[in-house]
Amino acid sequence: MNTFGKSCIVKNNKAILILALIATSLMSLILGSSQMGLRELMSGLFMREGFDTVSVIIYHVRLPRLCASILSGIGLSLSGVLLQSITDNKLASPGIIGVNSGAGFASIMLLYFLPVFFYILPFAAFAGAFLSTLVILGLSRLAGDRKSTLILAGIAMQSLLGAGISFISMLDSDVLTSYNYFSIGGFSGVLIAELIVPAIIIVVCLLISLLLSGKIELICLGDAYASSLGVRVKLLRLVCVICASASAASVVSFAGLLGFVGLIVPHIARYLTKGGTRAVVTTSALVGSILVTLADLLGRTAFAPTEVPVGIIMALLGAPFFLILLIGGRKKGA
Amino acid sequence: MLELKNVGISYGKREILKDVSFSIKKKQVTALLGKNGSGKSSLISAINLMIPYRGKIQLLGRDIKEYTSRERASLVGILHQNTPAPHVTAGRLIEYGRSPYLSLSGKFSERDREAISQAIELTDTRDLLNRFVDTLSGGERQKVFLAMVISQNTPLVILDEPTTYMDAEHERSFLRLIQRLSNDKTVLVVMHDLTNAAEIADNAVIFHNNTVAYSGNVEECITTGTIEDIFAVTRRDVKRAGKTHHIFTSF
Repeated sequence: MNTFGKSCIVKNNKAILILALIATSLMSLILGSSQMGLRELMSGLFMREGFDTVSVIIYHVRLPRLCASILSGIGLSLSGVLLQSITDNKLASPGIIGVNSGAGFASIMLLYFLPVFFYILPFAAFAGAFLSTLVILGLSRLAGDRKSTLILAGIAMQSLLGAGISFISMLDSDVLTSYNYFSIGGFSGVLIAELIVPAIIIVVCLLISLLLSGKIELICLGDAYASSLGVRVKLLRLVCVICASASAASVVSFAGLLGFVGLIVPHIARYLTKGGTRAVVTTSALVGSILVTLADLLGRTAFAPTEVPVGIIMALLGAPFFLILLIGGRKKGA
Repeated sequence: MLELKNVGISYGKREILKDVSFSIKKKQVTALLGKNGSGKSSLISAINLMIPYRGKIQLLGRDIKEYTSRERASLVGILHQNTPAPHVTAGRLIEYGRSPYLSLSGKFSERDREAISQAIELTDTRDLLNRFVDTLSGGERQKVFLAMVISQNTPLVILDEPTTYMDAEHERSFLRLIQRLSNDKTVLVVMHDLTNAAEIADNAVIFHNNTVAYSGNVEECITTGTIEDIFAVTRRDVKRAGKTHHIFTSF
């Protein structure tokens, strides 16, 4: 296929995804325990007078949730793309290599030991995620720096941090209650104000990733080739790890531990684009936003009035996909 | 073009190379020879700044560490010993050779397209462009990686055992290609096959006992018996079409 044809397909895919995101966002604002029409939505959004109840629902409940869903989709899928690229391992994701549990551990430590400083939770989550990733990368290097060692080191680290989280939860029932919700992942009660710092971090990480996408792509050739093509491999890895940790940790700070988004979305994006890393990053951001928004919508409406947290819905969708990947990979390798 | 002064490489306490000094001349093919584990590939890694080394490596009269990564990549192209199998098309892989010249927008200039096109023609890889690299045979993969290195359009090209995965026919055409490259580039090629080295190289550098045992004209090192002594091989000279070919065989 010539370059023109290929770029047309890529652009068409992007246009479809943007339309799908707009449609999903509208559905997310309209549907819920209190139903409203499109006209009511528009009036509630733009003419607050006379539509107080609708405005309150939109501005205080549904819009924050929608923003949280979109941010989570972008942040986690970006983290997944970066980690899968720099490790050249298609099973790498923020959850599997301990970013989520690192952030979770740091958050629960803060909640237990320094509850008065709860407002620095996003920063504690960031530090936990980043340190956890560094430790796993270091352990993997010590163990021989093979693809499997990263996953194994990640599993070990996850278990260790998981044990720490469980231990602290045991000591304080209030912390345990907070942690249960935190570990499932969800957007209930999220406020626009608490999304501002994570949004800034995620957008900055996204821009850095887009700028570096050409160099990130060369990592798939291995360190020796990347270096001889002008990439400062160690520096690039460090920048990517910082961006992957920061974006995933930002999501953890307001959404808890959302699994599988970072793992499955980059694969869907690669399937849809067939393009380079830049196309995978932008497509992942769109697909991630759509998937998380849909999962949240499904969780809110499918079993209404009971709300199923988005983390459960994502795990229900993600686990079978993960198994298909494993089985598909084995067949390919056989 | 490339000059090494007292270069030493160690892995922990194990010394791989010591006091390595030699220089390679512009627009000539220099064969880097040595037994397995003699430190040839380690030297390439050092030139690529992937491993630490002692001494000095100079490129065009300037310490190689003083160049930025992009500057170095626009001066030295390396075909590494191990070619990976990424899931990208051969066409995309060849385009990677232009990475050191691209701006952050990643758009190709007319000059980039011309370099890519020339590399494809020179390596005869047009038929492979739409195939994924991870579906190519070892020899085909080596060819598209060489095309990538050629599209990098550097004055110095380093080839680390480039014919390892090739059958006799592909090997012959690859060796002819290396000779053609030396028309406008300096080529340093790591080789195992002494007969092929004698056939294509102008100069030879031989590593033995962790250091340089010979550096100079290839014909001279053949006629003086240096190769036979170091590698424990016998030489047979065959005259064909007015040219003498040196064939080396093990005892």
